Amino acid sequence: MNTQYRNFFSMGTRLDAVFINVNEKHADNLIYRIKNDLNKLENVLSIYKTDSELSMLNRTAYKKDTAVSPDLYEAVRLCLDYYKLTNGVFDAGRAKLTGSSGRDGRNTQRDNSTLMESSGIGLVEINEKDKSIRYHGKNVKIDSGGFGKGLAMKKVKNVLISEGLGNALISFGESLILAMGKHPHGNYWPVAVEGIFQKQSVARVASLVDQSISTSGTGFVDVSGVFRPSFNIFDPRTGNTINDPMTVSFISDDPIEAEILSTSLLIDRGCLPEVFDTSGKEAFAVIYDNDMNFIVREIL
Amino acid sequence: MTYKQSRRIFLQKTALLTGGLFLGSHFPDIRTLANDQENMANTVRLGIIGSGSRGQYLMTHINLIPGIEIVAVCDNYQPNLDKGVEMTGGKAEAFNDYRKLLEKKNIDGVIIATPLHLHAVISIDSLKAGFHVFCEKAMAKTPAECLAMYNAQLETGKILLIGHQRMFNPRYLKAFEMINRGQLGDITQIRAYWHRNNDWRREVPETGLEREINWRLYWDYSEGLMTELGSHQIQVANFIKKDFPRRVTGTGSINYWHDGREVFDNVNMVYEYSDGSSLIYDSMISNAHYGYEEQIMGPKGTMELEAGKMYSENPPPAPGILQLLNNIEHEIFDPLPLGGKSWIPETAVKEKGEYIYEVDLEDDGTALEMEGFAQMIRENRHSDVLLREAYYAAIAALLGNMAIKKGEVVTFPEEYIL
Repeated sequence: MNTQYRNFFSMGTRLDAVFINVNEKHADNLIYRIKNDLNKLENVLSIYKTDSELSMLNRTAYKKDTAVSPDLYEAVRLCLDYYKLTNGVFDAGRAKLTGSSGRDGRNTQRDNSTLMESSGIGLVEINEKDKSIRYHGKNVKIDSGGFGKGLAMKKVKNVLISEGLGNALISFGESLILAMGKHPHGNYWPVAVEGIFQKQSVARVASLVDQSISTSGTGFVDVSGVFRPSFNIFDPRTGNTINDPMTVSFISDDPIEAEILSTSLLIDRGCLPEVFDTSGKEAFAVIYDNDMNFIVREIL
Repeated sequence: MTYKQSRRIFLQKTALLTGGLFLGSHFPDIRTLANDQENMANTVRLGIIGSGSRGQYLMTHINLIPGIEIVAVCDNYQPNLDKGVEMTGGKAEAFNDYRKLLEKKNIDGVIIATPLHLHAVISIDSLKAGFHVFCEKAMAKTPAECLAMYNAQLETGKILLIGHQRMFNPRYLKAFEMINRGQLGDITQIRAYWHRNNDWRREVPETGLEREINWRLYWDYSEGLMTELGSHQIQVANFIKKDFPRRVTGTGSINYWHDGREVFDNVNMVYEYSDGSSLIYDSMISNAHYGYEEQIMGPKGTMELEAGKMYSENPPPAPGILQLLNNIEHEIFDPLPLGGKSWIPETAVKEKGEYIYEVDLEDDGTALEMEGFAQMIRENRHSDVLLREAYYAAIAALLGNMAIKKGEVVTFPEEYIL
């Protein structure tokens, strides 16, 4: 059995790749192609690079049609689709909004109410004909944080398929995992979602074959065992942050869907319409009682 | 941390390192180095030629080392001579002419810490007089002098060690070994710099002594920043590349210290090795913000040797992934853990680097180099590798100045390739 491991920094986090049954040269070629694709995507979508295409769009698109690349156009179209699907829970157009309590306390309630009115993906117009984008709110800023890694993982998946790789496991910061084929010693890839307060306590094991699992959380437990909300999960419809300890995991054959909907369901477990096609998909939340014991709640 | 503590840790940590195939045969026997009692019984008797500031610095270190005695001090400037003798507790015999010192028969070796233009003549005279020689860097003032020194060692069979103390610094040795094992991949570029913000002058107590005291500022005595600072870092780069630069180009000038000096106050060089990789080097004395550093770069990572840190191009594996790899290797079908206590969702990973060597040693290698020189004398073992390192570093530094003065790309001359 020839297992190859590679990793590198990308999209603001760490990508780990485990390739099964490939030789060293093939693994190097795979990682070269993946890095190349992800570097290009990062240049389009990064909000940390001031010269990325998205950063430039965020600066120029208010009341002005801005022609964009096919990659960025598809990304914004995707944001609009999921905004509609989740009844406004997935809103990538509120980068300036930091939630009711404010990530660092800088935003007052008044600031946020002004931002609520003048931001949001609902104020973004796309033009299929000339692949242009226009913002109709002066505080619209698209944040790729909620969907960028999903798009990147889709590109990774495409590379692996085009290279004929059957079995592999790719992890993006351990919050988004793509499991291609199966584990070398089993019929699937077993991925355990653990409780955050109990070390090595498995809340649920997902059995993945050609699927992705994304897990979103509201914070982390520090070294003293105290839960620390990250204050970056908030309901874009109200501006209220979600500060209770909780994770939501979403399993799908589409890593973009997995990433976007794990965050959306963390905000509102009832946000999906009844007609949503759940075949081949799973979603579950890990919540905690007063004694910090976990309870697993199936969502789909 | 005292030198003794520093040394003890060095001996513990580097016994395996220097005992291996990589460096072992070029270094003094580490086990013997550790044996204070044996060393005291075989005291090495040294003479110091040049007891100015650098000579005094070396003597400060020597005074900490058991088994070395300074029995003679020589300097042609009386205040330096007096200070040197004083540092031996008044025990050393005083000379103002090194040739008189070389007539003594009870001296095992000499330490030469004179201005650069005197390195070759005094070293060669000392070797031919039957003394082992430690000479401060850079090796000599011209390529021809460097070659003459090298040949004098071959003819006499005596030890000739040049003062590149980084070759005795545990942090550097550890880094060399990691680089040699391929942890950075093939080294494609090295950047090094040495920046200070002072006039590089020493106080001149009497008129007429400006050139003797501030010898570093005048071409008759010195080759300026390239030999005084650059040769150290070029030596490190050469050792890592296992090569010497084949071509060099660069610029230099006096752009700030317009005070009558002759040597450049800034130099900016590009050296090319035979595989097409490069050393980009600069030195200046009008800004100290960046200090000094050697940055070693390869496709797998970067090392900053002065800071003692390594930055991987690839981050360390996630703990869960490590467990998965271990499971696959041992044919275990267990779940990959995710979202547990140590997991932080959506957190960017920043590469802060890892320390190359976990112990912070006060000594920059100078004391260990002095102790090493004494041990080489006890073992009567010369290191041709260390001498070649110094030789190629010195000539590369000198070629740098030639490239600046000519305004041309200068190729390493065939006649100086050993």
